[in-house]
Amino acid sequence: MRWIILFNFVIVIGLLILLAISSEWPYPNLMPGGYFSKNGSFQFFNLVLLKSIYQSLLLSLTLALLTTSIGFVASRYASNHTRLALLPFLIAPIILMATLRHFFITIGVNNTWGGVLLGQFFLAYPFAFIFLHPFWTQKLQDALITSQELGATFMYTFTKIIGPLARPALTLCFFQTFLISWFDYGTAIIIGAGQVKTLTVLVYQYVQEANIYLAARASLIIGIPAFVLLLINKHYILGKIPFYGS
Amino acid sequence: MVLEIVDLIKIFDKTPVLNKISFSLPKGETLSIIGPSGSGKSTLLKVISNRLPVTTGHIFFNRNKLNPIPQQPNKGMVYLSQEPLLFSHLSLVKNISFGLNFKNLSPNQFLSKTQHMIELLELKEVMNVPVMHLSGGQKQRVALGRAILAEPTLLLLDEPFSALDNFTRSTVQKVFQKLCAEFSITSIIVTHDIKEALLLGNRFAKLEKGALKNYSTRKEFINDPSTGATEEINYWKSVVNEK
Repeated sequence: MRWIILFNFVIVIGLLILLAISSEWPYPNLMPGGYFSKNGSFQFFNLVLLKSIYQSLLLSLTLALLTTSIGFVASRYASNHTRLALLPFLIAPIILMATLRHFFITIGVNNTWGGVLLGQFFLAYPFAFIFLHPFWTQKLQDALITSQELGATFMYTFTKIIGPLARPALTLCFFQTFLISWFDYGTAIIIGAGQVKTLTVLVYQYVQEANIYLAARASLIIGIPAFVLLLINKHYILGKIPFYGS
Repeated sequence: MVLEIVDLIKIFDKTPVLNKISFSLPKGETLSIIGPSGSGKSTLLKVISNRLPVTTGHIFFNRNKLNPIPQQPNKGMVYLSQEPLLFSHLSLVKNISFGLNFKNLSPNQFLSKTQHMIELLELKEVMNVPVMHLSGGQKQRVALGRAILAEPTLLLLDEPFSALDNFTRSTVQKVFQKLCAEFSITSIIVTHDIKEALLLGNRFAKLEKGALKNYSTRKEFINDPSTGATEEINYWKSVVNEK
């Protein structure tokens, strides 16, 4: 069974890679071709794709950093509001964004990079809050107070005690919120209205233009961070989140 | 007086847990407070250390009235519970010497104080063992040493040895006595173990249903039948006599 799944996965990814490096697939050829241009060079990235990668990376990194840091602090001080944080997940993200769009137009951030960031924040922040909430166990809160009783300042406690203990959870939360933004299409298309060309928006645009080669390239690039982060999660983070133990 | 408590009341959901508690504690003394489970012993220590807010009443610490800020520990007090709360990512040495980081000591002083404490705690042979792998008694000794090296004016011990087996408990109690003598520690220990109270304290009180009864002498404490001390002593006498 595992081999069948793996085989299917390889076929799909293999075809995607093949399409991404091709420029033609004439009938009745079994495989796509035209890997190189006539002068023998091959340009994987074009300017639009590069701009989109930059846009997506900046957006995802900013969102991950914001939501992880704010979520970490908020999950300690607003621990009674966990249920409230579940609210955004009651409706589909795309409907939530459609509902919020009027508000975004009113405050003048519609069609902007900041607007998309704010829209994604509405989805990723509750996730970060819920994800980091279990970190603040009573035991950890007691350890925090103990550290201060022993003479440490709040800053010292935060950097030397809480920081190291929270690092695996924070890293994982950062990765997950990064991926929420990286794979987001609904917010980018509704709030960004086609002006903010993230990679997901670009993939759909290429698909609509029937440019399967560029669509495959963009899709392949979209998949890379998820794959890398999955590996990192598996090897370095999972299993290292005891949250706190004495 | 290191600590003076005046008419302290703590109410949880309209139920008084501590009812007009008053007592004082001079420097270098250890007050043993006994009482059954649910009598308010832990609550009293948590209120003194500002882990819980006071409902009404006053706490004077070093003759200064405490005006605690919520969730901010009172400076000069260290609270020790049965959970050692060691910093699991730090080594045993770093755990013990944690409080010394804030004392402006020279590296030599830092090292000698730490080494001396490790010797007192009899932890030299497990010095390089990660704290997570230490036994319950060893963890509690590390927590005790860490608290004492921070040189608190008042040490609050909330049944710190109750999770330990009899043999380990006895060892840690001896270590505590040794440390008390060397560092002239002022402390309050709450326990439901009458033997522990008699062994570690030189002042005694009993907490029952939120009301505190102070005893001026050890003899007075032992002679009060409600403390159960006489019964305990007689029991052990009978065990010895039977043998």
